[in-house]
Amino acid sequence: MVSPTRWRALSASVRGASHEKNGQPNQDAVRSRNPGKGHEMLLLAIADGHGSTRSFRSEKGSALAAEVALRELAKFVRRLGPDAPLSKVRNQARTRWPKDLIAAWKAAVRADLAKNPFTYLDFAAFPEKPPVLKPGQDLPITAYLAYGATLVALVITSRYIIYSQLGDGDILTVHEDGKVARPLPRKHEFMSNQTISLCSHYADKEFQIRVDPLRAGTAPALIMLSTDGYANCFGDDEAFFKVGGDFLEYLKAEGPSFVRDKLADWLQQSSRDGSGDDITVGLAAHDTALPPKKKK
Amino acid sequence: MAARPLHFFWLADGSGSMRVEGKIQALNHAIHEAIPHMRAAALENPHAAVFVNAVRFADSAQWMDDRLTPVSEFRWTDLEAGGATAMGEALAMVGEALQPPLMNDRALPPVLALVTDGLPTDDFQAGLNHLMSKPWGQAALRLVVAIGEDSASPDAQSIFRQFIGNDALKPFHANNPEALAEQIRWISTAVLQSVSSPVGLKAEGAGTANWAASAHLLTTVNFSGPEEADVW
Repeated sequence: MVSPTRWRALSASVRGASHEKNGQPNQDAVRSRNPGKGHEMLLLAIADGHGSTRSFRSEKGSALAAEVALRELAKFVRRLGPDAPLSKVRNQARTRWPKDLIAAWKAAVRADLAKNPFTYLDFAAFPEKPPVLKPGQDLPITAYLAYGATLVALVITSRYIIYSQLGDGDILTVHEDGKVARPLPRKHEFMSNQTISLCSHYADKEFQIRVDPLRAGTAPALIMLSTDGYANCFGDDEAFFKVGGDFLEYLKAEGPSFVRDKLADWLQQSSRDGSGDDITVGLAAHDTALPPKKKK
Repeated sequence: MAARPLHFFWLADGSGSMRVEGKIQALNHAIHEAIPHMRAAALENPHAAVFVNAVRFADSAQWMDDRLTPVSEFRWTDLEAGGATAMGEALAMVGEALQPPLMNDRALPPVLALVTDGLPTDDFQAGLNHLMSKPWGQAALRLVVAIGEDSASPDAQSIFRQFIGNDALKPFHANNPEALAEQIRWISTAVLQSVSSPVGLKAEGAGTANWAASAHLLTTVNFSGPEEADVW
């Protein structure tokens, strides 16, 4: 068993160089929660709003996705209880969690729509009228598509890690020995900017989920979550994996404050020199990856 | 750091019918004229590395360049018209090319611009099937510039619809050299910029044509040229 209080999250999200040029906002979002008293888990979620003509509220949709993911993951883990067998965790993570998350995200979208209904101007470019919230009726997919976003989320408890992904984006694990891996395979059908997302039909069946036991000696020292704008800055996976090792080195040598201070600048530089897209990175570092605390 | 590769392929008809009324000269001129604009459009977006090549099809299909050519180095070799219309073979060749190592996960959707004045004389369906059997063939933005009256026939339109594979997109139709030049320039610039931008490209579902919303706006622009100039 590894104490979850030994993990720490840090993150940054930057507006893409192309978005700056075109006056578009950053459509990514990131939320994290470090373990603490009465909250024995690390939670980290990043979301990437589609940003297409149809997804004109995806900046909001990604923020809702990251917020809802944190809340629902915490509920999910608490509901399972501290002693749930790993087989049960795996089973529930694959079946229940995607359904809970999508239902919660859709509820959050409906709540936002109740406050900010679509206008005729929002749908001026499309053949249909703006969808309207009606009691007892679900919204058409075009309403959710307006908020469309992908999601990558992580929870680390004292006993296990749940990796969860819907749509494009990347998760890398970095081990003490420098080994970098993908806990979830990169889906090649997400090439050329096509992706499944929270608003897709049957989205709950498209989740990629992995549950690993957390054991000292085999756990990664660092887990990196990123939106696809980051991996797309690198020519191939070999170059992309190297950045995982670089983050671990920086954390060890300079500490989390240094990385937190520099992260946004690094990502902005990457967007300028690479994909031009929004970039969001969330890091979950085990304290073996951090420099020892100085004694007072 | 690396810019994302974007492959742009012209599929140009060099069959005998293109000799009639100066169509092949107009096509050569239009693409020569568009190349500087294409380079300028590519420079506008440093996040995409644009590569250009062309397949000329007549009795058979051939690549214009035998190597990957950055847009800054691409030179159009004037086509001479003559022979049949091996359009199916051209599609199959492009399908063959749209695979690793040319294409990788980071690539932007390729652009395939078919410029033709009529119907294929070979097995178009087999060529299209081969192209569409490749994930990058499906992901490509496929456009048509249809030249002259023959290309407006129901049979030709059916072929073009199958190639485009998206009801939201219509073929461009050029009835004179001016319209052809404008359409070629439009594809070389506005369409290229739209596809090469990471903004507004995400789709709601894998396997769908993700650029449909913006490409629809781009390809419904009417470039008919002056009516009195209709020569084809």
